[in-house]
Amino acid sequence: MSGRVLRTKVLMHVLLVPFLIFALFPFYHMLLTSLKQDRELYDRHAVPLVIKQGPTLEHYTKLLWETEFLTWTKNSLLVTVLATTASGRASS
Amino acid sequence: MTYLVPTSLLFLPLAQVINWIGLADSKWALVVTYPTFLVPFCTWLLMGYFRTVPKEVEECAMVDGATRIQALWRIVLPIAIPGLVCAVLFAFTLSWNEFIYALTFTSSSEQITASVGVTSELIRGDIYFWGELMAGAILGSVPIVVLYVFFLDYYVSGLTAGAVK
Repeated sequence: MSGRVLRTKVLMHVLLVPFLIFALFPFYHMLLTSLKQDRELYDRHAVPLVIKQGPTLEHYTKLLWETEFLTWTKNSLLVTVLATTASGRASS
Repeated sequence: MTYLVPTSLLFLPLAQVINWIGLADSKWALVVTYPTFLVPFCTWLLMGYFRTVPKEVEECAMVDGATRIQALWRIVLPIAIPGLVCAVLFAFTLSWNEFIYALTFTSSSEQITASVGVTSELIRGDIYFWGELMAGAILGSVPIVVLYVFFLDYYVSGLTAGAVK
């Protein structure tokens, strides 16, 4: 690979970085919010883009054991798998 | 038809049909109604893919003594597997993310799907349980990510390259 081609390639990838950040930011924010402690989450003076007071899995345990999230996911899987196989068979 | 009328209007008559066949507030209502938009979608997607399979392949099979159905089933369908995988992937994503039908046809906590459950039970009035909501969003996107990673090799391959000499 000649130097010119390599340079164009590198430049192209660098130009793509803003789009990558734009696409991945919502997931970053989702992950951050789910790992933050409630105290920091509802603090109006805290910086929302970083975790300062340490991560916690409290929200995940609450979601899994105190709501019926597992039932909902099971329903989702059942409905999706059945509907998808039915449609795939019907249309092929 | 399902693509001409927006889902946000179509759920009204469909809800009546669901009531009429006695599936109100049941996840089976969703199993019945999702194919109304999945079947046209898959057909449309596969139509494009089947068109890329050369006619000569089918003719070769029929010269070798296969009937038309056999040629379709044993020759064309295996060639179209990347397209089929692609259609199944998109159909899975579509019905996993479906919201309006799931919200209107089911309501009790044992029958709702994940997308409805997270938004209806983790938002009480004007109180948002942000942590649990986002945890649910993360966990809810895992199956689709896993599926895409698993099937990535299949649906980027072009199998018909070099089939006709």
